[in-house]
Amino acid sequence: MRSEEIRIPEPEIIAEDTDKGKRLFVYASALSEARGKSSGLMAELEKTKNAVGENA
Amino acid sequence: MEYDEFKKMFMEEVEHEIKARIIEGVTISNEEIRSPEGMTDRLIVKMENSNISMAFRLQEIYEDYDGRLDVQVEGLVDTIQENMNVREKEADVKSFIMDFERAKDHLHLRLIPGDSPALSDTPHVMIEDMALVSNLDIVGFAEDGRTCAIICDALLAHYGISKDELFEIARDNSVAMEPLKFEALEHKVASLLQEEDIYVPVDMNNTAYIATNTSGFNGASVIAYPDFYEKAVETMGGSFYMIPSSVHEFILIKDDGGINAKTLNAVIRDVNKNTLKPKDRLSSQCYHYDAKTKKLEQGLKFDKRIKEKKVGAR
Repeated sequence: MRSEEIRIPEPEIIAEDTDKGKRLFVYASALSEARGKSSGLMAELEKTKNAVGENA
Repeated sequence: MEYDEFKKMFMEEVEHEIKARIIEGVTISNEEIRSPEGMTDRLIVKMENSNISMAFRLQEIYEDYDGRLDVQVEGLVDTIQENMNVREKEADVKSFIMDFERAKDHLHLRLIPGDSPALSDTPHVMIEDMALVSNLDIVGFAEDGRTCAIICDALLAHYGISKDELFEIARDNSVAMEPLKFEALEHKVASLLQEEDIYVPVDMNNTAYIATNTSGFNGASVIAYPDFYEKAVETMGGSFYMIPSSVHEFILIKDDGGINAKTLNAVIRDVNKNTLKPKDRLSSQCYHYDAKTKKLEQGLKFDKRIKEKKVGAR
């Protein structure tokens, strides 16, 4: 097969993962709740929940 | 504003802005295209004398809409202008992709949803309902973000190597350049939020860990590293559930009887629906790894099996 006959995959530009903080925070919070307990850190993090939503 | 109405208005405004800025040789259209996460509705920007086009995710633009359409339109047209030199780079990108000797050092593992339409002509290995593919990082092309291409069947044939060889190269590169990394979930959240005044207990009794690679990019593929499960068992202190939180990482939860797959699946579905961007979604269910039997299976199947075992023992 000659190279010019090959349909090459279209490159995709993937933006950096800027949602990691928000995503992991939501998981940490939900898992803490699902276990029916909240660690000291999660209780503190809960206070920043709104700020995360605004800044993420 | 409904999505269809937004899309129509947005595309008209983009077209208007392109004309206003006198950007020549550019046409826009709307197409649904095949993406790793499924079919996606895109605004396609085609450039004269070029086979490479830009494809913007319209659904994500709609989700970011906060009433300032003009700001979004200007931002997108800025991006188009900034990337007009893609035509000059096209030949370089093509030759890079086609040249196995240059490409081989930039092949990495990538985990995508197992129902991705991209899999129809792509060498892949299924891991439960997820698919492991080989991803080529195209270096020095994009200034913001990374440029990648998933290796398709035709390209594999052109390289003249087998599927096994392709995955061996991708795995070796990934292990060497993007080593496996575990981090306690709560510590990671705290550091990402950069809240210096947050109280961090000395003994947090961590039961949840993030498993990813060093860059945190496409890091969910670490579950295909040869020593992943051995190191994970060591970190978790035994069996664990695996949450596919995104294509970038897994969250591991110690199987200490305090949580079950049904609950975890409800959390996953909720986060997938309300928080995660479609391009980052990996799966909608958890998995379980048994440290004794060294078996990976869907979380619900594991729970059902254990329940039946308990009933049978009575």
